[in-house]
Amino acid sequence: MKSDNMNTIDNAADVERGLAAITDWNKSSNSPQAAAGLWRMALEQVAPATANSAPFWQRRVGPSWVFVAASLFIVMLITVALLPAMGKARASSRSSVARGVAESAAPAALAPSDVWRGAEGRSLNRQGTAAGLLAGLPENKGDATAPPAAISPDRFVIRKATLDLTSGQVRSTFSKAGMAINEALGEYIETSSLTGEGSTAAATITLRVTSSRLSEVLNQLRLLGTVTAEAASGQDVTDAVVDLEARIRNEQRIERELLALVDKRPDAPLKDLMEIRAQLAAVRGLIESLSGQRERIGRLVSLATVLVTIRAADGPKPVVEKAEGISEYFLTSIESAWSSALHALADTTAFLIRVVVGGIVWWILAILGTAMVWKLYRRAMSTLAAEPAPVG
Amino acid sequence: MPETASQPPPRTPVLAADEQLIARFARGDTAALGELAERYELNLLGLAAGLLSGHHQLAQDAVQESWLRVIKHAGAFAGRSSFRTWMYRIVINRCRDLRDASPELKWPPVVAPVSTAAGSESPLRLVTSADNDDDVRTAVQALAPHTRLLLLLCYHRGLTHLQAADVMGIPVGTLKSRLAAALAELRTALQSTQAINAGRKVGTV
Repeated sequence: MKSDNMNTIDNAADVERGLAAITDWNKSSNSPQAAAGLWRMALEQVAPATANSAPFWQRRVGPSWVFVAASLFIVMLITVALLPAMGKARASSRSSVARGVAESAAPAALAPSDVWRGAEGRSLNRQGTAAGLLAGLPENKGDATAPPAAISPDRFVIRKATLDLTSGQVRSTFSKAGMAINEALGEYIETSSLTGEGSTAAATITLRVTSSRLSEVLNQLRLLGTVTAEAASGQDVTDAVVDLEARIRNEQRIERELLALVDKRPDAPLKDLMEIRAQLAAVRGLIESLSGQRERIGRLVSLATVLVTIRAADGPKPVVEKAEGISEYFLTSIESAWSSALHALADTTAFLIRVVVGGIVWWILAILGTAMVWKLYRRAMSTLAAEPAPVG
Repeated sequence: MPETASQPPPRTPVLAADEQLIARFARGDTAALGELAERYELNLLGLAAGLLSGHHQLAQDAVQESWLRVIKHAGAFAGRSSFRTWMYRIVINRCRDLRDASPELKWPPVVAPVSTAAGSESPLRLVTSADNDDDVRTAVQALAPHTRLLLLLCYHRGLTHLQAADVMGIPVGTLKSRLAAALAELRTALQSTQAINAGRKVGTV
């Protein structure tokens, strides 16, 4: 083929040979072998193959591996940082949902109170009620037309206390504990029980005492025997009270509007009057329910609960641990270490599950991102590797 | 019945394909690169020397830089072209870069003296052929770069026309038509070169 092309040229063979000689390294170079091994010199210059063939612990860490490691680390950080916050949010929403359910279920569970008579035009002065209940006094009933009193800035707290006593005379102490209440203030014994005799005698008594007298009653009870355990707690229900009172005021306003509507139109059709009456009945029922709920909370706030447990002083003694020998100490230590190790293993597993499952969205995003970047990187490298055809 | 000992034909060593060798090198087998170099290095040096007007040092630089590029991107070699095509393109592009960047190419090329030690041809024939080679070399240098590249590629002993067309990225038919035109240009350049040389000889006599 090459000869065919040279037919039109004088001395075609010489020209062909001359062209071939130009690119013949052996003919044109003085020392053809001196150039051999350029590939080896290039290899020594960069030596990537050496790095590739080396064991993995001797290999250079490439940018892709650094990127993958950084991605994993960031995802783990995000997961660990976000999970507690998400847990709190879940707990918060769960508690608010539970509170909402309880509040909505409460009116149905409570019987309508006979203290408040909104349908008869009389209303309860809520400020008076709260104060009265807190003080253990009879509630103050006011006029329905009176404006609602301002909400007390005081906190509404349901208080509970438990007291464990030992006494040589259980029966006598039980009786004295029952006498700590003041019935004139509305205090009473909620439950009481006395079992056994002598050293096996035991008694429990639940007192409902005025909140303001809780400390005084506890002091009296402590003098009745030896205190072995004591605990107290308080539940703040201010928010619930405020909410209930607001809802009651709203329903009362609706009731007043409905009554005013009836008064303005005495000659209204019977059908309309019946409809308004039905709505009035519903509103009043709701007011009754809310008032009962409010009254119940007020009762719980005004009267603290004190649970007293009395046991005989000469009852069964607690077992005193004997001094253990070195072998027992060794076994105990091993057992303790084993238990701790299992707990640590469980905690670690839980943490891993938390990170893996909790951060599944981040993991997926990281994997997708890594895959995308890797693909782009490979494409870029491939483009770099592809040498363009020579032009000109 | 006597057994006829059927001797298996002697196995000729099967050469690994270039693409297999570059893949082996990418996995860390440096010997594979040595095999590739054994196949191509001298041919590439010759081509580079031709493209760089006979500057052997620059040709060696071009080929060494090409090997560097091959080593660097061996792992990313996707096989969209043959290794030969890839390698030749790298060398040609490096030569072009060096030619653009090297002021040395403005000076006359260094031409090796004619060796009379080897070969069976008579000294007179060798001198005549060397004169012809020099004329061709001078005429080629006078051509445009793309024409020079086409001629050197097509008459380079390492490539067929099909492979040369692959390196150039053009169909083989296009290559042939361009080659015919290039040879016509070369003939013109060669005639003028020979005329100049003849004038010099007359002048010296």
